Amino acid sequence: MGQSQSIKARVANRRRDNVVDHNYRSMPAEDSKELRSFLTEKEVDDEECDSGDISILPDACLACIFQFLGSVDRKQCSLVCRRWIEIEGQSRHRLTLNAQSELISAVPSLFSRFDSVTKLSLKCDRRSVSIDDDGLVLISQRCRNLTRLKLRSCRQLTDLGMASFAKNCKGLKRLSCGSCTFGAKGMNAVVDNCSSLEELSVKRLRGISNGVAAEPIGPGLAALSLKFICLKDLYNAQCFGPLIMGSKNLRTLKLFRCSGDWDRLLELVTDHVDGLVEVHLERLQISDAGLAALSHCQNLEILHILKTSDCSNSGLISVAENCKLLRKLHIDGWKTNRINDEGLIGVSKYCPNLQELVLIGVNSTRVSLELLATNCQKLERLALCGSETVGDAEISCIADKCTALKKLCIKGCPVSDHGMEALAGGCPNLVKVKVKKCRGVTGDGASWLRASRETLAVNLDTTEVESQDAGSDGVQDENPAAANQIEVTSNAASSSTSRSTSFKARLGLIAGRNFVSCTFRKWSSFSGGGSRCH
Amino acid sequence: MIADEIVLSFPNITRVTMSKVLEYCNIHGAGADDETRAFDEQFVDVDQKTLFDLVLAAHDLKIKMLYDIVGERTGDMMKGKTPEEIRIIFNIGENSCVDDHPLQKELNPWAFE
Repeated sequence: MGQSQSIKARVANRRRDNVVDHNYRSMPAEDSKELRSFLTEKEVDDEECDSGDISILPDACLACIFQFLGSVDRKQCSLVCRRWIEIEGQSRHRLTLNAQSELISAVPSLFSRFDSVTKLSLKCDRRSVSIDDDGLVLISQRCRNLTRLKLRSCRQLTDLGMASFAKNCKGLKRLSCGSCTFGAKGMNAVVDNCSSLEELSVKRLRGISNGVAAEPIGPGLAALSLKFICLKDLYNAQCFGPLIMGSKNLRTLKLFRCSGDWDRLLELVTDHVDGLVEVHLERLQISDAGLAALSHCQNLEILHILKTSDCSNSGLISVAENCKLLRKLHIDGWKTNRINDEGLIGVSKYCPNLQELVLIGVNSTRVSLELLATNCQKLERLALCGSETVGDAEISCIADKCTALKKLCIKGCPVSDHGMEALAGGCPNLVKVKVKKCRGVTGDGASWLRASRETLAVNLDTTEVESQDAGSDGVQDENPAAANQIEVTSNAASSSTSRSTSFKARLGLIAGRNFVSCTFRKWSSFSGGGSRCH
Repeated sequence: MIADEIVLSFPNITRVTMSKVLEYCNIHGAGADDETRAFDEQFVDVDQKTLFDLVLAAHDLKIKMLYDIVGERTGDMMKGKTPEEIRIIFNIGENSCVDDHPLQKELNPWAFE
């Protein structure tokens, strides 16, 4: 490593010399060329002058070049010279700040340097005191063109602060707040002022869970522009009723772990809002009546009903019957067996466009799987998880009939190596198989399958199976070095230029019950392009 | 006799650079595929002077695809480098250093990422 040490020493010397004498210009020509050659990994060619003059590029070009860089690299660039710090600052549209109370003193200088911020994240940690209303208002005065705001654990913000903010940033399009403590008044100020608001995500808003009669939220001016509403972990989420009902252009509704009975509200919502395309319901008190209400949304394409134990086959059938455009369906039956073959047969009958099906804790057998495979000719992605009834016969059936299937995931099911054999001869379009926590499937079975189908990526995770490897239990999937993961990927997928999204997908990064659905989220939301578009 | 040809002049773009631009446009005329990707990789592997001339040309001529790949290539040269190293790579003089820029000190404690 001699060469790099001597170069680092030279860099250090250069810095030291600069401190001493500001008039010192470039180092000797040969040294500079050699350094440049080392840093750019190009050959030093005495005849060819490698270095161009970057100052010929106008500010707009430099700004564009910076757009290809992440935040850390941009920071480094900003320290290069005066011109670059100015351009970098003016072209930075996205900023994330550690929103502790002391931030307020830095706000004036921060936002004179970054004068074009449109997307701002203010994140405080749970232990520190966050910025207060004055801080938020000051920021809002400097960032009038804000289109996106993310707040995390900014517990000092009150309704008053949010109201002033909303009046200053009327062009807001996206608001996401988690673990904040303001209430309905603050939220109403936002929807009353921000008439271009398209996305609203609220998680754990403490201010509205207090009080018996919580103030209703909405509809406000934002109702007509809202397309996406996500509410998580709220006690009084139902006070958002007027907002949801008034959002006539709503496309996506997600409700996670919000108390109360939602049947009635869903009926009211679907009476007024008929354009819903995507609905996610998780750990919500909703019964077949609520599902029947959802069936009025004829444009429904994506439905997740996870751990909603009052939903049964008849509710599922009513949705399937009317929502013929359904293409992605995720069901977590929580092993209550209220949704099983009967409901799935209904889906197979009415939903020919189904592309993606995830069943967790749902006892499906070959009776329904056969019909799904036969009738849903576009079924490309299938995941079966935690089902006592999915065995080799079911896998054979899938292999036989699912001609469009590309990705298959089986977790915690009584499948054995025989099932792997069946896959060898079927599913002609299969690209990827993932098997996890299936005691009957061994390394031999997986290897055999790999050998018989070279283009198929087979991922077998035997973490939970009793094995001699110590310390294998409880190893989270995040550790790619987990010894128990045997992975061989097909030639196409193993290129070193894979983006991080697909890399994580291959390793099944999320452990636990959410593993399957998160894997699919990553599979289906993969989008190419490393550059950020601001 | 009025000529039927229209003559365009680009005083900021040399003949060498223009011919490279035209080469790029011709290859990409039919749309992107594996061949064009391979061509692109080789196309941007040039010295700095040529690269910056291409950035300027693509900017002036408003050829977005070309602008993006040469811009990204220039950006790649900055990735993972310290300010010092960047100055060396691009031969930026120290007399324009920013160490004592008033705003610099303010930012870092508060920037999260």
